[in-house]
Amino acid sequence: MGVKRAIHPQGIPGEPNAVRWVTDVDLPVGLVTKAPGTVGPLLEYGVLSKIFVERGGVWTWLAPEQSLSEHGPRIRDAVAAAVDLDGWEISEGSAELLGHIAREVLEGELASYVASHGGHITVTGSTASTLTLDFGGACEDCPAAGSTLHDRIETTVKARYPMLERVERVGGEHQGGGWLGLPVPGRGR
Amino acid sequence: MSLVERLAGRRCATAKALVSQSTRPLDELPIGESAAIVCFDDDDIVARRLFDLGFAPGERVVRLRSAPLGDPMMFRVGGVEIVLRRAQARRILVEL
Amino acid sequence: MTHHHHHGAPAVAVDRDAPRIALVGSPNAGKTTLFNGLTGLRAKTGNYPGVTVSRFEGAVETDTGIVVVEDLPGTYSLDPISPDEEVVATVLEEADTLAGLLVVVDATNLRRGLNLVAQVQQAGLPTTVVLTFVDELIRRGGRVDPEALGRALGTKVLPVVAGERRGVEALREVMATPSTWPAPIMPPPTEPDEVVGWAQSILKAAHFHAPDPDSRTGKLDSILLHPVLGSVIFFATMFAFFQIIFAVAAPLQTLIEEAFVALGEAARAAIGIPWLASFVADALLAGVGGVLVFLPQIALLFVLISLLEGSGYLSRAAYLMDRIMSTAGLEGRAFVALLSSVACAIPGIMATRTLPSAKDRLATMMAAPLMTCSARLPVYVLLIGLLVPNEARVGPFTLQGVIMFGLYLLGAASAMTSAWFWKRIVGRSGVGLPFYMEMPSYRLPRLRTVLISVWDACKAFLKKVTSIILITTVVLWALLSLPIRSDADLAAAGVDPTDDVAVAAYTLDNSAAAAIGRAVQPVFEPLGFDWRVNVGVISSLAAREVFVSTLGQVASASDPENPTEALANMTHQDGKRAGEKVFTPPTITALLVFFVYALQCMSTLAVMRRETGTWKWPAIAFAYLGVTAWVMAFLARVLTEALWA
Repeated sequence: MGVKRAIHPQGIPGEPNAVRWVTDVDLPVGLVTKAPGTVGPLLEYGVLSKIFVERGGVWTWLAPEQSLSEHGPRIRDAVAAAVDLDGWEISEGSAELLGHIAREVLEGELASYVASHGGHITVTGSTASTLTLDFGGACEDCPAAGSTLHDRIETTVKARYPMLERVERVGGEHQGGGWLGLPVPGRGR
Repeated sequence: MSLVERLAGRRCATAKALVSQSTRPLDELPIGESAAIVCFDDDDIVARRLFDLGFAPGERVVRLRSAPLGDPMMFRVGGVEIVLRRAQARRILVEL
Repeated sequence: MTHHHHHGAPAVAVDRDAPRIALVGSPNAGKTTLFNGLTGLRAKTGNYPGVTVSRFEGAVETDTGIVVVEDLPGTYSLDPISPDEEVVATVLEEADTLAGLLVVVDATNLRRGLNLVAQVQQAGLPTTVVLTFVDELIRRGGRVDPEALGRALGTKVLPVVAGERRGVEALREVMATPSTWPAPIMPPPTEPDEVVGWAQSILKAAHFHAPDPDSRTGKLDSILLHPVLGSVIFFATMFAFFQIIFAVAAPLQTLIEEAFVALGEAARAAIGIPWLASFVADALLAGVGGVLVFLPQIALLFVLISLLEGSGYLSRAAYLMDRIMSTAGLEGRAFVALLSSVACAIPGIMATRTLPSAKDRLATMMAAPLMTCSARLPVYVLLIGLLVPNEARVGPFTLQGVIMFGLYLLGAASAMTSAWFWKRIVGRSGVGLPFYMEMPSYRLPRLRTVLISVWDACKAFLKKVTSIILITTVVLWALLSLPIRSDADLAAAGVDPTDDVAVAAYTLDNSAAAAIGRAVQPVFEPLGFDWRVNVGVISSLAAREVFVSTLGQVASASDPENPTEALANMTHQDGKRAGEKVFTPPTITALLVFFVYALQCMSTLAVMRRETGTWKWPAIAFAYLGVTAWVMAFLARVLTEALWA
């Protein structure tokens, strides 16, 4: 009995067709244009419409009219087997993927942390290397905590999307002067 | 197929031949030593129950002690201590 | 001893239309503690239709109204190997009656818990995970992030710490709306190789770090489970167990005894009508009091058993005894069932449900009534008291205590032999079902759990005293005192109506009970019983303790002033032993041995019927134990006579 790869599916709020297959991946991060193993045919024959790879896993979009209850196990097995294979063609960097990752981080891993700072942070835009966030009411009265929060978001997203260069904050610049003029380009490694 | 039937169809011993490493039965593990579980020797209710008890492939198992007359044996696996008789312990194959 | 301590308090009316939520979880995951916390000990017990597994349900008040919560039997898997586990699988398959499921998972053993979660989620019901023992996990150096676990599983995960209200209140709030619980996007895998990978990935996402072994448990086990030292400690524990029951209970018993004697005298003095005075003093007070004396011992017995169970030692005892139990073809858990039978055969027979093999279950059930239950205690104490004086000692122990220990040992040895015999009769099991047992960490027993178990036992005993025993006592009094003789009758029979002792003796001798006792005399004559003992034995068919109250009535009927001496000096009135004392050592020994074997307990027969679903097995048990009792009593008598001569 060979133990299979550690992998589990995670649903994405607001993206009913998306599944984030959480597993360790050592591939370039970005949009998949060609996949090896049985993932390839799933993409070719229209079971899957889109695949992204990030450091913490693989994102798949089920094509319309396909159901996860029917294809779920097959997609899981295909992804689990393929991530160890050669033959991936990935266009590195994706504004869309960065947005998805940032939203997933803010609504998941860091949700209660952000809430404890009294606000709600939303993603207002992304490029292949920058992220723009609206801090809402968070940390308006507490510049030091705001900086910590900013750093933490950047570190968390960057761990899964290494091409992230900076996190911008809408309305952030006019809030104060000095070192609060966030973001500092190239911060956080 | 009912849930119970589906669970009864689970396979615990598949591809024993594919397991490259050599194994020994758990009852041969000396007291105080530990080893990683590799697989089971068959696909029956006993193997499935041992799996459900926490003897999962990949987990490390420690043989803690034996009862006064040599049987049953006490193991620690996945944070709990479980007693098995020799006859059940030998169904579990651990790394050599 | 059942592993559940559901309180049998008056149940809240459980609403048939209220939404139902079931609790699923492995044994020892803290399911029952959670159930009690949610329902506030207002459980309603029943049985699952067609099977004999107890069903526990209770009402939980939530914001949206009453929710019925059902505590399913503990199970490691939905791939069942015992009747208890089949119930869980069946309830989940007939899912339309349930609004949701709470899976109770022990955080210290999260990987195994996830395996059960994966199986439970196949049922497609709204599911929420309740994480228990998080405090224990952290104490032992482990770690888990319940929120991250919830995200990975796609369900709510609520940590609940025993004894803290906060978690239970949060859970109560969540239980109001099972239809809104989040569900995973797809059910987890169940194939072993896949579920291992799935669980590993989930654990990583939940930042789970396994706990270190409990160092306190490790140290204690290295002594208590040491091959030599551990066995010595085990037998010392068992011996101390019985010595304590007698040494500690004795002063309390004397107190109760004296109180009832005083009450009886007061009643005799206060009531003018002689027959009514006799009824109140001899039947009601002597009968009930004679049995009530044993309340301290029964309470103590349950205190000790629940201490052993609550501390975690009972499982160790099963481990130490497994090899010995295997000589009878049984397993360590059957030892727990048999040890529970020392309190009462009923919980013992019910505890056989944890045995996966039907044949083991049957063999254990047939053996359980041989274990010395608390109902035999009054009988043994009375008879041993007649056999040897209080002061006699063997080394540091009282001789009475040593004989008592010997009787417990005889019962246990006979139970093992019987189990071995029945295991052979019912045939070997086709599939060798696995033997496994989880060793809980040592804990300080919870006072509340101990008190609940003792209170339940005492309540059941008092209920028995006030129902079965009171009724048989009253019936016996009538049989012993009727027909009422007029002075003329007495005079005609040559009895002086003014001599109370002579009147009492005459009435007794010519009572209806005497007629019955004499009718069965040919059966019991070889054992040395006289008709009065026969009446006692017959009346004890309802419940063993009745024997004591019967002899108490007989004795106080023949000499109301000094019943104990009357009993000791009772002589055979007819037959070839006429004039000899009844309670000679050979007769007492025969009686003791008879009580070791005979199945004199209606409740046990009823429970056996319930557990096996047929009258066949209780009938067989009653017959084989009756015959064995007679044969063994006869042998004991012959042996004692030979030794005495």
